[in-house]
Amino acid sequence: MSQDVPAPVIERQIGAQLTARDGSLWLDASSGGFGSAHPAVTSAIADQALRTALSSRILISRPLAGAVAALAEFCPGPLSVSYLCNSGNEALDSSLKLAKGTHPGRPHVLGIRGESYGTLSHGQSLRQGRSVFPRAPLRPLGVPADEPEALLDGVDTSVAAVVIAPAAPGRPLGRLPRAWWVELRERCNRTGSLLVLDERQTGPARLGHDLGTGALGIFPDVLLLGETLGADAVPVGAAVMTATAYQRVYGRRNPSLHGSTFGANPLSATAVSAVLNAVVTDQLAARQRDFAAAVARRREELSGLPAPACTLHADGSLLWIRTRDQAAARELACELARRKVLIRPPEGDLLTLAPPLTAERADTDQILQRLFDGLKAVGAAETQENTR
Amino acid sequence: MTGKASASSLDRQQILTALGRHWNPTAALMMAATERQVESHAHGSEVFGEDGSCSLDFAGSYGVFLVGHQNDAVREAVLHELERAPAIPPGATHPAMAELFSLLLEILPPGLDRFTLGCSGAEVSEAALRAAYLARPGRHRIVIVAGGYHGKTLGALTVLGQEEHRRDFLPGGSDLVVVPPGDAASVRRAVSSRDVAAVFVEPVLGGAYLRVPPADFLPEVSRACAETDTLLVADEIQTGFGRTGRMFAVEHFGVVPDIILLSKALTGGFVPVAVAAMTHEVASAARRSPQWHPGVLEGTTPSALSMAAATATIREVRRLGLPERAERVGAALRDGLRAAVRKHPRHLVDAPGIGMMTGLRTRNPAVENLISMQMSARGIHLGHSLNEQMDQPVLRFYPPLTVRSEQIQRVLQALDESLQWLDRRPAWLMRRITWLLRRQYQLPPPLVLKLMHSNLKVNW
Repeated sequence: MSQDVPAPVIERQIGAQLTARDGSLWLDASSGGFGSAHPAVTSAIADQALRTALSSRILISRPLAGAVAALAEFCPGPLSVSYLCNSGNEALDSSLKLAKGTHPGRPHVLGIRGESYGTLSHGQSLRQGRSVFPRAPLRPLGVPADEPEALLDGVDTSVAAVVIAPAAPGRPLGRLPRAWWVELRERCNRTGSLLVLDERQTGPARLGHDLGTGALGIFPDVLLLGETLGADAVPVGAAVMTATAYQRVYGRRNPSLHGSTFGANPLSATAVSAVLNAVVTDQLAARQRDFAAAVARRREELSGLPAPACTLHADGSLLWIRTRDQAAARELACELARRKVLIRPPEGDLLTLAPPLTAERADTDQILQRLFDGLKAVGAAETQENTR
Repeated sequence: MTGKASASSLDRQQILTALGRHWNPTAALMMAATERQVESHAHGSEVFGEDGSCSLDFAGSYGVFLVGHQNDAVREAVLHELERAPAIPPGATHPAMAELFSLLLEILPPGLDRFTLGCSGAEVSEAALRAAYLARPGRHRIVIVAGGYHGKTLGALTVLGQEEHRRDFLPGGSDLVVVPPGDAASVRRAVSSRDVAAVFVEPVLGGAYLRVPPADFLPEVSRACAETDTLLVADEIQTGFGRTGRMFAVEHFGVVPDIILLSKALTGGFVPVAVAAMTHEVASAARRSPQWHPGVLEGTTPSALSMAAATATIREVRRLGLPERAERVGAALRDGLRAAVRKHPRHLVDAPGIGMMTGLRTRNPAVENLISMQMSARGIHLGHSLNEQMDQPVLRFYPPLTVRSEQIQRVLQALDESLQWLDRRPAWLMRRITWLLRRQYQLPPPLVLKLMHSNLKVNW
């Protein structure tokens, strides 16, 4: 029987290492962010906090110019105009607002039911496959999570935007082949639907590429980035779009047509520049590829052993485990908590592990060691239960 | 420019070029046209440019800088958390969050003890909207106040009282009831059919529509809501934490809402954060709805830095007695603005104000624009509406509540000089400038810079 393990009360964070208030040491496989205590990034944020953090934005912002130029350089092809806001959720919402401004008469947004689209109302609607409130400007159309390829059939002229991540827990990066992505791009071109690539979880570096889009062979109209850009310390999100998509709605318009009080503030802009610089100079994408390689090497350990996992998959350091059922997922989550690995609460039969991008190799090795030990322990316990 | 080139080496033209190409070309053009300097740092009520210039910040980012720029206690709390434990990973508990919730419970009106966090006011406005629809199932209408503002995300737009910001994205909206500011009778009529889920209201209507309501407006709205089981959502994003002379503006009127929205000042000027606080009754009713699902009332969990900034800000507001100070020190500002209206009725309509939430309702957008520019030339930043479509926009004066009396006097002196300058301009010029302002975004950008005698180039 599983027993709930109390959540740690955080006292200190360094990379993937968490010290809890009771003195216990945990490893973070939950945050899916950049990681704490990166010297250059922390120092850049602290220096900016000593000058000006938020701003009335009446004067010209040097940090903002640096951040948007860095994003334009980091993002491929024609993705060159950034809307900086306060969360990945807001970034996703801003792409839908852009889509609605592009096609005021279109009622639908298309996505994959059950995948994460954030906590704002339209994002929740996409996940649920139904509007979470009446009069919603865009109503969701969704395909089942186990049939993502069916998304193509839904792209028509009623759809203002298609929102999809390159990969997601439960959906490997290679699940949808390049030809499928190219076809999606072409259908969006034909119908005028905005193609929004949601990289809030997968970018930067998470999948072992600077951006997931690099593995797809297409350019979206809008690319979304989330909290990783703020080093998990400064709330920030970014919608990076083509100049054409931006101009269609906001060109030669009052700049207050869209925006937020805090968005594009100097502190978050500084964090964005520092994080992108660290991604490149510390070769963080390669580090995530090493993680995936380590998972592949260890996978052999499970062969022949009773284990609760149906599928275990890693794209870079986005690792997920599809268990036999919800009970097995809960059992494994408890086993990991007992081994002091912090993970997100399971979603149904799915567990996701995503250590910070800057986690040290020794820590990620430990996370995997404890995961595989946990899998074996749960499997052994089930075998014992069955033979009783 | 390449990202490899450090932003620190760019000159003003290069910075504007980057902003024009990669951020917001129109905003970059406006900054170039008005010859803005590059921001260096800020402290207290003052903002400094890299050219050595110093300006008084009476714009205050529409209420963000309540405890001033670079408040020592808030900065220390933020830097401490940055070093110690800045993130809040899912599955863990962070003491900074618990500390903030405890403090909010001490200061909020009674019963508002269920919290949804966000990184912006718009995020928590959406959470309030979802809560309202769930807690009052079958009710599809929402009442808002004309000119009201609750954010610009696509969901929050559905309750935006500013048509000019809504119409490009939401052509329809038959379930939205828009009532005139201060008109409780209209609210009562609207909710009497018992098909309204919630009334969204700013206790003091803010933004370019700044207006202090009649004393009986909010109590009457609250009564009408209670009688019809309609939820009252008080958006205190601009007014909260002392701006109006009380910790929360609803306290002026003796009203306790079902949901209260907080942000702006709560950041301490450092890190984005927002909170929707609702009653147990609302949260429970929402949970009973057939439409309820886990996570539906979740917001975005900000970082521990946000929590630390918010906690330190509330402590500073209490330690410095800022609500009381807004009332006492703000009296000079309110009186001075009213005197300006009496002296310059040709340009000014009235001077709405409560605490240090103050402004000048101008006769037309040209007046607002010219006063703003004249004041800027005298080293004072004001809260310009950026809304040239309005007939009579309010130019806002939202100083930090830590502002010194002599700084208020300096602003009033500069205002008098600016208005005297304006007195010497003919009435036809105001009409012509308003005409031009309303078309400014259609003009060729190089022509805009030429008209403004700017030496900068539009190369984006």
